[in-house]
Amino acid sequence: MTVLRILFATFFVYWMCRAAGYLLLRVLSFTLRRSERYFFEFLAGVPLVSSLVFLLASTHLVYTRLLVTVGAAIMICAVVLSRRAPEHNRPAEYPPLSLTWRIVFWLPYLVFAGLYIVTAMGPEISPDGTGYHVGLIARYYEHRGFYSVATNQFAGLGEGIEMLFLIAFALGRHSATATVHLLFLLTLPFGMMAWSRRAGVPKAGIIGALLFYLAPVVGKDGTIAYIDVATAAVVFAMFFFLELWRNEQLERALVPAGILAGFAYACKITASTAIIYAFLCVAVVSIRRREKIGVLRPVALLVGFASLMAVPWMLKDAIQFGNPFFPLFNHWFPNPYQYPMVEMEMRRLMMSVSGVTFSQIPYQATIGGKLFGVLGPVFVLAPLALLSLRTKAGRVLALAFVPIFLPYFTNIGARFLIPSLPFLALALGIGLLSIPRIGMALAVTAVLAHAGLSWPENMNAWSPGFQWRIDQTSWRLALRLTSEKDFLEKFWPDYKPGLLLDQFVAPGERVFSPGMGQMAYHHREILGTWDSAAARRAFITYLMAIEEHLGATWNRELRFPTVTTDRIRLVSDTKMDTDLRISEVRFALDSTEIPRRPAWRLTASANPFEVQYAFDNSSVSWWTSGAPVEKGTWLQTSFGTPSSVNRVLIAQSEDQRWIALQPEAWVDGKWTSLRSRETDVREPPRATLRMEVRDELKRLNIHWILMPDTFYGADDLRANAPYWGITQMGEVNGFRLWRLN
Amino acid sequence: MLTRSFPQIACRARLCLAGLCLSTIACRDVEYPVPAQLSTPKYRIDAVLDRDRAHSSFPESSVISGVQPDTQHYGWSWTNPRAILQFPLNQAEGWDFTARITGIGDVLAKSGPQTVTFSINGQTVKTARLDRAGTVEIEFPVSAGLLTQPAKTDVVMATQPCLAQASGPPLCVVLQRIGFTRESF
Repeated sequence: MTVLRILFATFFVYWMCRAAGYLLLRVLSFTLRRSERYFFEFLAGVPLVSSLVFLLASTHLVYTRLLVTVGAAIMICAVVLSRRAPEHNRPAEYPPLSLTWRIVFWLPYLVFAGLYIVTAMGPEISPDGTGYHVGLIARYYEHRGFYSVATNQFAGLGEGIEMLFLIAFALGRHSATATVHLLFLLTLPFGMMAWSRRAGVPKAGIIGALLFYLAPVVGKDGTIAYIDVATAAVVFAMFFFLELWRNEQLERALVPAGILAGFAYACKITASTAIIYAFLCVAVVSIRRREKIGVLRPVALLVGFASLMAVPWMLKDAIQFGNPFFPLFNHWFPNPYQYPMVEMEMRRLMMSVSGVTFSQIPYQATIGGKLFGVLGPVFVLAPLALLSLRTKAGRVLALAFVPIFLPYFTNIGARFLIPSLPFLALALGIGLLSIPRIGMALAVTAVLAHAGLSWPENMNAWSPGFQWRIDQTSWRLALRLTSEKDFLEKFWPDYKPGLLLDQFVAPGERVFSPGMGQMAYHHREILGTWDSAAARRAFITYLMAIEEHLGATWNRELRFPTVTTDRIRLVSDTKMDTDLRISEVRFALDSTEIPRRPAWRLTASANPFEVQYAFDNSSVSWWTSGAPVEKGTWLQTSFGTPSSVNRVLIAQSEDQRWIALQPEAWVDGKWTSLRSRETDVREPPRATLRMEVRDELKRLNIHWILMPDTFYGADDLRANAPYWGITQMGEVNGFRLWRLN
Repeated sequence: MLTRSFPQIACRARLCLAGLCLSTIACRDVEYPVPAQLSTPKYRIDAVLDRDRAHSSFPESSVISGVQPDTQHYGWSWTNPRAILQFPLNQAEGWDFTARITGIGDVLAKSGPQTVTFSINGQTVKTARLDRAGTVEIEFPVSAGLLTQPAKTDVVMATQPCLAQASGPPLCVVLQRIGFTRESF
């Protein structure tokens, strides 16, 4: 039954998209060849169906019956209209390829399709899939649509493909999301070949399509609930329609091109360069044509339809997170949901995955595997793609490849090459075939070698060490002859801890879970260590009880000549690569503290959303600048009425001692620096600190800790549970669930 | 029809987006009131040299002279007739002076009753008399005027009479704890 549900969900999504695409192309009076329709009708429909689900999710109408009804209605419309379609307008099919070339394509294609299908139908346990691609979708399904997710920055990423996953999840649950992603992998080679035929390089199309399709990292990615292969398909379809507009001067091709360009942004923010490519392509070509209607109309058409797809996601993020590009650009669009510093840390991390330098990328991405996946040794021949520049098709591919490829340097994981890989693979196909005399033999040999080397069992022979590749394939599991639940319990350490959460944690209570991020197989809200501002705050707060430099208090006293002012600032005089954190600020005149009054107003130059933590009378809560401290970063207190002050008492973690703070007062209409003398005293971690941390976590609505025994500080929880004030409620797979008493 | 009107729609959408972005940026200057004050428990801040504890709250507190090293780790140290100690205090107000000294029977039997005088920054603030063996706890508030800022605070503990030894400095009393303590805000 599970298998039937998965298959039904997959076919339902495919035909729903194809039907929607058919309707769009019919409205635009497009006529595609039969061989082109498998891919381009599907891809033209994907953004439309995704937008429809976006609409339903926005209005909390994600009900299985409604999804089925809407999908069926679209399919019925398409069937009815297709029967009335004038077949005589359809362009003539291309002559069939020779039997040899058909065997060269179909043999590896079908063999690997079998492998891919069996793999995709297995239980979905991919890290990002269970973390958010499916994890969040499962939550949306529970909530019947979008809801406020303040604890997971991935909720801010474009979820264009995930909207298709939402239909698949409603009908076929977790594995159906992977099989829907597989649809893109199975159909993209046909799109690549279709373009190649139009470009007059059909054999290069077969070579390029197979080079892409058989690549280990593509196979791995395309058979799990990720979105990279789908994004590649979307970008390539956009490219196809742009070429259609350019070569055949079909202005209406700009509609699907614009839709797909905008949708590329909705799929993956790094694919947003597709919009820039499309814009430049249309603008430059229009200028060169010197069209009477000018440049504006085609550009406006393209940008307009692209906006239709991209802007709703920006609006969603602007409304939900206060940043239209969340979780990126938080420095420009400050918000309380993610610190710019965490974003910067992630950027740094992603730009040097496993310590791989840019010069090592070619080896690691093709053979080495340190970038989490490999393209295969055949892609060592990639420089031969430059030979394709001698042809027009090659130059067109190169122009598309460059902008799609460039964002790769922001995250050098191998799978981030996938969106630009179809262009490289096709160019490599053209390049190989263009070599005199041996070109064809070399190209076919390369493809066959690629197939042999990419087969999972053969990869151990050439790949050094662990590779991110297809490694768990079982047709018994795919057909559910082996129980999915048994498999998850036996082979996936994250499954049972999730069940533990459902068993003990009440809905609405947050769980600090630094070592387990899957959200797909339980229903509770978890916080990691970096995936939101709340998670980072919980993590640092936890560390205060573990790490002495964070737990020890650095008490500063700034004394200065008495000043009467209504506003005072503490200004950083240091630039460092850490954030500025202040636990408590107090003002005094001689020995008398100026009592905090409701009339006081607090703000800061960075992260003002959390400024109150520095004035809440708790030394384990803290305001953070959320960004690396700069000279001039300030925290401001307005007293409401002029007050005389000559002392400021500041409590911080000891690690903040190196950041100099200077008081400034608002005097005579300007900020005046106060000449101060500073006295610092270190106060060691208090005996009650663990319980204070526990109380602070509870104030953050965290009532539980789920932690693997191997996590930093986990031994302290075990050894000092009474001093923490926590009780162990369960233990499974090396994870312990602690309740904060 | 669609293509003609769409640029206008797109233009409006972009204007809305720009408005949202600007309003987001404007939020940077937002001000917040003082939050509810959490009732965190008060705790003691100690500037104390304590022979029974592994560390002092104020690592910079130090013995200048007159207290013999606690080489045996017995948790006590003999003082000389004039012991000088120094404490860095981060503020002048609110401190209590605290000391725990023990008069030793053998010493008292030979030297007679002892007088221990405590001075802070040169001013005598307390005199304690030891007639018999036992521990004496001393604690009293310190006037803010005595504690100069930001200089370190000198404490002199003078003891008379003491027991002279054939070799080494005379033995006076056993100092277990001395320093300043106050409540946090």
